[in-house]
Amino acid sequence: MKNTHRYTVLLVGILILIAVSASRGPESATRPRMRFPYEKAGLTKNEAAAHLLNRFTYGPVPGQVDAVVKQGLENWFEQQLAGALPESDLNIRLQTFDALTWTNTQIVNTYRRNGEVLRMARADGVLKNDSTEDDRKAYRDQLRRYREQHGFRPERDLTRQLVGQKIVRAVYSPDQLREVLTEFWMNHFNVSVTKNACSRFILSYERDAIRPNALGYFEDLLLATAQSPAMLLYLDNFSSVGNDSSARRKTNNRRRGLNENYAREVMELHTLGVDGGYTQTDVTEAARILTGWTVYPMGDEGFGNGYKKMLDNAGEERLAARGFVHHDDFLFLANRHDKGEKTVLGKHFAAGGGYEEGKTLLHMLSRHPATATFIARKIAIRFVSDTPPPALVDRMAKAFSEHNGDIKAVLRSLVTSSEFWDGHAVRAKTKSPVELMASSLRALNADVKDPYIFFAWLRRMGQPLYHYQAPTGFPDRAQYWINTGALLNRMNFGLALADGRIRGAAFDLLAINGNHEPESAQDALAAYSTILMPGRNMDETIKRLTPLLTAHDLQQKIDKAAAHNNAGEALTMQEPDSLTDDTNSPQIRMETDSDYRLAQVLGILLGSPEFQRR
Amino acid sequence: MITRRAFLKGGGLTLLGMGIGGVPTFLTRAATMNTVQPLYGKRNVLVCIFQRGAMDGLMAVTPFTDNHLKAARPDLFVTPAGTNGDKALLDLDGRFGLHPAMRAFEPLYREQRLGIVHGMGSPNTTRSHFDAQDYMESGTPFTKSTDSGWLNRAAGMLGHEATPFQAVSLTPAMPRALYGDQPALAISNLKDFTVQSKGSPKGAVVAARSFEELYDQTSSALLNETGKESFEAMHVLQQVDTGRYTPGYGAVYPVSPLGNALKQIAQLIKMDVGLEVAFAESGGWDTHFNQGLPTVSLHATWPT
Repeated sequence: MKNTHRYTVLLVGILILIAVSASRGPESATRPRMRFPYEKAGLTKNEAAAHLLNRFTYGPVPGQVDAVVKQGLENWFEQQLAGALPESDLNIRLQTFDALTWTNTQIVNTYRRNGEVLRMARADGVLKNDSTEDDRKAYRDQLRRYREQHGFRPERDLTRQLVGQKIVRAVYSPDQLREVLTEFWMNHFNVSVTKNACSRFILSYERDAIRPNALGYFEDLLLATAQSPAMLLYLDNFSSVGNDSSARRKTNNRRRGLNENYAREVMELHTLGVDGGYTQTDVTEAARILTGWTVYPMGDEGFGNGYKKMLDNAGEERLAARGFVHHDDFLFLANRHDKGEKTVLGKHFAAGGGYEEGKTLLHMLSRHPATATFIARKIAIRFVSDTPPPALVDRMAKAFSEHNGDIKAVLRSLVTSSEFWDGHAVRAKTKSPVELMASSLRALNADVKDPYIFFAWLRRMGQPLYHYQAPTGFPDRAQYWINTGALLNRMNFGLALADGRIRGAAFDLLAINGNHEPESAQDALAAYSTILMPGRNMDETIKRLTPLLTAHDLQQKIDKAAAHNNAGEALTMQEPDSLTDDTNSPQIRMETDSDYRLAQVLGILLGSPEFQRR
Repeated sequence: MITRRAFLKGGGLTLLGMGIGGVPTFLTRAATMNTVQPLYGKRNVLVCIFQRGAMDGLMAVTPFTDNHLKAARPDLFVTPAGTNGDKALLDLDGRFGLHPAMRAFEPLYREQRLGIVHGMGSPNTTRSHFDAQDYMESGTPFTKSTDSGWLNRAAGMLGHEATPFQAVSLTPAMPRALYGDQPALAISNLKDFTVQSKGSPKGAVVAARSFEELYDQTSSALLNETGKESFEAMHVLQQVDTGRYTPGYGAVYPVSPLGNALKQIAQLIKMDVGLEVAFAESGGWDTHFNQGLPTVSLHATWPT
């Protein structure tokens, strides 16, 4: 009797425990509840919410600070870390970009290069081999018709879609943190449209290798990028052949050989960092390990035609038996692999190794302590300041190592640190051009009709997305973005956007102020500076700007200045700029009857130094 | 943090020698010679073009009688006899030959208007392109913590108060070589270098004034200083006509980033706004693989 009674109590106790932990969610049972130490730093809840939004999103949307406060700051952050919010609105906006869901094979078969199309047209007898100079127009027309018939598109259309989808996502994705990190990792594992060989594969690279892993484990990112065609072609590993391999021996073609480019950059830029303690020998040995890592043939006239026949003849099973590996667009050509023994960073790789030793190498690099520090530092620079405190970086590196490269763990250690909330860190970062553009559009609740128009502005401000030539990616420091020319372009961007001179977006200035029309310049400044930059004290700005924007006491001064400055008049008579037009489209409501111009107030706020900071 | 005023007062050389970087001896000699005269005459302009990637100097100007080079690069070695008929080096002086892709420079050399300095480079043999580039621009190989660039420090030694246009880079971003305390401008397009409010000239004036006011009082030092430099430069430009520019001697600049940059440098020089140091870049010199074979190419994307 006594025993069963004891067991019953025990059973009930266990059941209660299970019920309690289940109600708190599976993860929270093993992790203490997160608390953000912003009060100690002297921030109100509103200011703290604004800081979170400034750092972990592309900028707050009107009303979002209040929404985050209501949801609970920690709750909001965890939700962003999960990155799984419904995206129905976003997907509707993305529908216009039809190539977004295509495979690389579909892409290369549609976006064909001119040389390819020419060859096909000649093979099909559509073009005679010698009909070139004489009848140029007819020749070009025939080629165009051939392209249309087959549904071939020029590559600039693909680039438009690539850039357009990123801008749309930056402005509208509910999983803002995932989008911010996607850009961060794309930059870290940079590839560039400027390199012809890899440009068409960048869409899939971002979609398949980067975005799904952006909030996951670093090692998964590393492996996915290493095996993606974009990276294999950008850093030349696709062509690397082991000096000691059967493929090399067969051809005796001295053109083919070991290519160390990727091996070097994977250590220098992707994992250990340039001071991470590797030597030139390590680079060479790593390159030998990665021989054979290449691209599976894609498309009718795609890459790898040299070995396509061999692959088709052998068949998947025989190839697998001989150590070849194929998944998605990645291929390991065992006959190109250098099977000798190697040593990298003190680790010995026995002779006879194949595909697996490459994975072992990447695993080793991703778990190296130098990698933890290198990645932690980069993340700290992105989210805290250009010169993050070393103690913080160390703590984040520790979180990286202890959690096997779990990026969420690193972010949690960052956001719960006192350094993140410290007065020196708040608003210490300067927005990149992409961040400036996206935060402007979000702050205005804009409807982006044609995202690609913004690419020209991004270029002027110094950030042509996807076009940074070197594997280092865009530098993440204010000094790079803020220089005289770029600064003027930022101011002009703000003015042009607010004035409705950028055709790509529509917005309603009065609506974001609850349809309340400010009665004076000072009113407008007070109202809109709070909307654009919540959680900040804008008194100084308002004080300085009010006299300048209030027309009545300044009209004479302005007239004098405008008359004086003949060059000033000439300057505004620019040649027509295809980016902007002067018509006030009916979708944009911004003029009021007051003696100041609301659009001008907005433009100045968007170009103001305060709005350049996040 | 060394302020510009302190730098000029203290005498550029001493501060330079104090540990930012070594002082080239030709500069010390020139500076001690005659302090009344400025170091460079107002009319002299230094135009610095950085070939990023970088250009392989041994292939651009080859010491073709050097057997060590021949042994080290059997497949890339070219002589005036050439590997294919049309790939012969242009023999400059019996010892050095110019790569055929650069034949446009040959007449300048023959007229003794072009000097070529060979065998010059960084003592740091890092294989990292990016570190090597950084060292070239900071001017301090082996030291990564240098904040400033060599060109900026050199501009500070010109011996007179700087004008806003003393140092200009025709690039979208400020190159590392021009980081530092001397005011320097980065402009990619002269036409755009103004506050624009199309259809509203008064609006442009109001906006410009407002921005100038705001940037003057912002707490961010970088935004504050850059803003000041922008507006100073803008006011200077407003006094001259940046409209259509016709190059002299019927020169036709190629439509490329480098071509546009050089054209605007020429324009700035002629505008007499005090330009003394100009910077431009040319990219794509990184020949990653198949350099030289079967035809000897110098640039990653040039047809051979």
